[in-house]
Amino acid sequence: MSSNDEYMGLFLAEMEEQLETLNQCVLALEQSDRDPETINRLFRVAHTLKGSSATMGFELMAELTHRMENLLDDVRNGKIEISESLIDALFACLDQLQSWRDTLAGGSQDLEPAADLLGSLEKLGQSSDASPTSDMSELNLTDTVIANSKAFLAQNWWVGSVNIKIADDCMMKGVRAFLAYNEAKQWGEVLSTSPTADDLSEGACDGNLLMWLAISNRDEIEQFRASLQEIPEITEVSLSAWSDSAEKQKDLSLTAPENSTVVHPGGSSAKAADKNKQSTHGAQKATKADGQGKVSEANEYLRIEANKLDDLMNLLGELVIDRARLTQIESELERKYGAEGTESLGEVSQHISLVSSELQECLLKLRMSPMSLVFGRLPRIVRDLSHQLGKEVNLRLEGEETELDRSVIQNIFEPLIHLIRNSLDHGLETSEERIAQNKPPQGELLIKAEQVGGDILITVKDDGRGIDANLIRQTAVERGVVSASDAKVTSDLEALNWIFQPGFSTRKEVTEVSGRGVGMDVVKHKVEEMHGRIQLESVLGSGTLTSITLPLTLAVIRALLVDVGGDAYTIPLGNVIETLRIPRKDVVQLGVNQAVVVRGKTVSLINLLEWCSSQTQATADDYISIVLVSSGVRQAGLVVSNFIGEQEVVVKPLDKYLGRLQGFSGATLLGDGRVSLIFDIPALLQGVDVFLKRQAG
Amino acid sequence: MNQEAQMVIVRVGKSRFALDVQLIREIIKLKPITPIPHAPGFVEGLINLRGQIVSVINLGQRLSSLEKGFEFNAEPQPLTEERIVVMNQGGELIGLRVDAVDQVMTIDADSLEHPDESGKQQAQGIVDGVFQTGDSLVLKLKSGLLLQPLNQEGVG
Repeated sequence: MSSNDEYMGLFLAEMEEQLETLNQCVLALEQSDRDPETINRLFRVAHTLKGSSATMGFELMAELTHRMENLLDDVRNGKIEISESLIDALFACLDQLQSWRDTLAGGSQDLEPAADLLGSLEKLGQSSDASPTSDMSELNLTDTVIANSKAFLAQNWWVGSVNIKIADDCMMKGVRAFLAYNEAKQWGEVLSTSPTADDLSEGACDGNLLMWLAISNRDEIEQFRASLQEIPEITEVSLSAWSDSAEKQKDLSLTAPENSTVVHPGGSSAKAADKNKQSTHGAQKATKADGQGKVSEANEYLRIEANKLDDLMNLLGELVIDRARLTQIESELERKYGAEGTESLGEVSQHISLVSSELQECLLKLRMSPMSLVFGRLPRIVRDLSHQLGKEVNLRLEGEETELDRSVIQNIFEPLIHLIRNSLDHGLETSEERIAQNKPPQGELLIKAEQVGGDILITVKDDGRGIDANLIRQTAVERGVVSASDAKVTSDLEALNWIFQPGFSTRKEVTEVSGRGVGMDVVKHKVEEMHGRIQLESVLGSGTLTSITLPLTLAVIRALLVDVGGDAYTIPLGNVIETLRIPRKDVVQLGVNQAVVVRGKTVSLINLLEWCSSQTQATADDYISIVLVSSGVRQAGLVVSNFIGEQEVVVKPLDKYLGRLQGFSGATLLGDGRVSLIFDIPALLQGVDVFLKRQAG
Repeated sequence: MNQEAQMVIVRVGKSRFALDVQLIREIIKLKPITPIPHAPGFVEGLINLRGQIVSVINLGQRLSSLEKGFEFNAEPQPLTEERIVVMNQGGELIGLRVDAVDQVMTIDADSLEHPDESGKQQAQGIVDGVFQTGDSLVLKLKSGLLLQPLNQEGVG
């Protein structure tokens, strides 16, 4: 297998992409997309996968994709109707392939056979006319042919297929077919034929001739048909235009109401489903054709190992530090030898500054990936979940072109799925419930990504039952999160956000979809790991909106630098509410905690001098410097020696040797070359409770 | 195993230790170390090594923490030239703070005694072998153990 190992990585990476394309196409089919190109694409990708898996020696995969190909073939010829069971079968195939891929990616080559799946594919296939006579499928519609077809279409040619049947009792079928082929060539371009042109010229034909061709003059189509019918012993000539469907959709797109993808996970039983189909049918087609909802074309990308980008980033970091050093040397020399002597050095150093800044910008852009990498996977998940829960959901995705740092893209998926699950399971009602409340039977789920200033805002919005703030208050008191008196005075918005506390769930029963134990606190934790914030708003009876705010890139964050006992520490600006200078006498003692009152609100203090050096340092200063920080629900004032200033810092991961540090998320290099630790504010605020208690005991 | 190995001899107090030269990326002069609050005592902190952030541990304290009861002569010496020996463990860099770097020497595998054969040390846990050079004894350290990530033990 050693030679295979080299190709394994490439195979797996390609397969992942292929599976995503396949999923997109099947979803499109389910949305009553009848664009032949979608099926052709499905067919082509399945075919490629068949080839590559056979090359790699994965017979099971090759077999399954072969069956898929056959099935798709029948669909393409119209032998099989696109039905719910077909879509389900295709999805089942994709799931099987995905599971095999994951097994291979895990380093094992032991693939579990999927006999049941093959059986069900067989059944679907049998319902069709089994004779493998010539049809669309026989045409070898390669990418080149498709591309040419599109080019002809663009020039207003007629493009489509011609199916010719030659009388059964004809003695010279091959000759008749060849005649028809030659005739067709007189009228336009024959792009592909079945049997192939070579076979035709040798007279091989079993009575069916299929041609894919382009004809220059659309008006001559009927004349073309007539000229074919004039050939003796040709019994049937059927033309089918490729352009028709595409054009119809183009017309519809003019009425497209909005720029979004619509998924209609066809509900199986509810009466409302039929009603819905009618109301949303137009919108689906329309949005599909306007480019957004259309199965997105795979862009051409250069595949680069992500680690290499990180290496590049580190190298750039070194360059930036050398740049600062160079400027310093230049000014030293200038002092010594005067400006004239160092003029050319100055020019070079300035140019290097310029180039390295641009380099930094380019590199940061390189690390950006479009949100579509995440959004592309959502329709499938929403479809499966809504089927599972028996709910009608209209998923809309907006802003899939929004770009985020690749590390954010990697980490946002999990929390997003969690929010979607919550919306579908707890938020959205069943169609019956919705109708009873005068809501449209189909629930709306909108997921949107947009850039707002230097941040990325991701929102998940549903029009479900919303969250009862009073229920949250009640639960919070029961769980001992807050006291009953505190709960009363808390605003609804603040109370709602208590659900991000660990172990907080108001749902009594456990469902298959949302599971048990992992609550919103996990989502919050993930978001905060990315230096982001999460907030929830809800109106009882009309829906919930969860907003995640993330920095554009994780590699560079804006931060507040503070001095703590002579060492510079970094606090992400996302966590900073404000900085304060407060007279020492205003500090009040609350048990073991110290606190200050800021605009009527009591905020506990964390003395970083003590926290960082584990010793009390008495300072004579009459004022103390406080950084007011927040991790969503928790707030605290950090007592520091001094504020240094606000700046952009490049976040560097800590090495593996130390593992996870308590209270810090990483480190950064300051202009003078020193290392500064970056506070992990949420962890710090959690850890501090422990710290204070330990001091007390 | 009649092989020769190049060793760097470092000093902590009066004790001398040998480190495999192949694991050493470079030896630098002591530079400002950013302390890490709540890290174990032997962790000195972080340094900036040409743009890369590297953790530095105090070799002497680390050895004491690894091998309870292991006593090495740590009394401060007047003529120390403190250095950070940057080790490369599978791409991860870790700095060892030492009192001085003495010399680089080639050692015949034959002259390396197994610690329990010598009977003079109880430090089998952290020492690979022992050899005599001049009038002093040098302990060859188990670098794998020394450089093993701290995750398993937990920090703080």
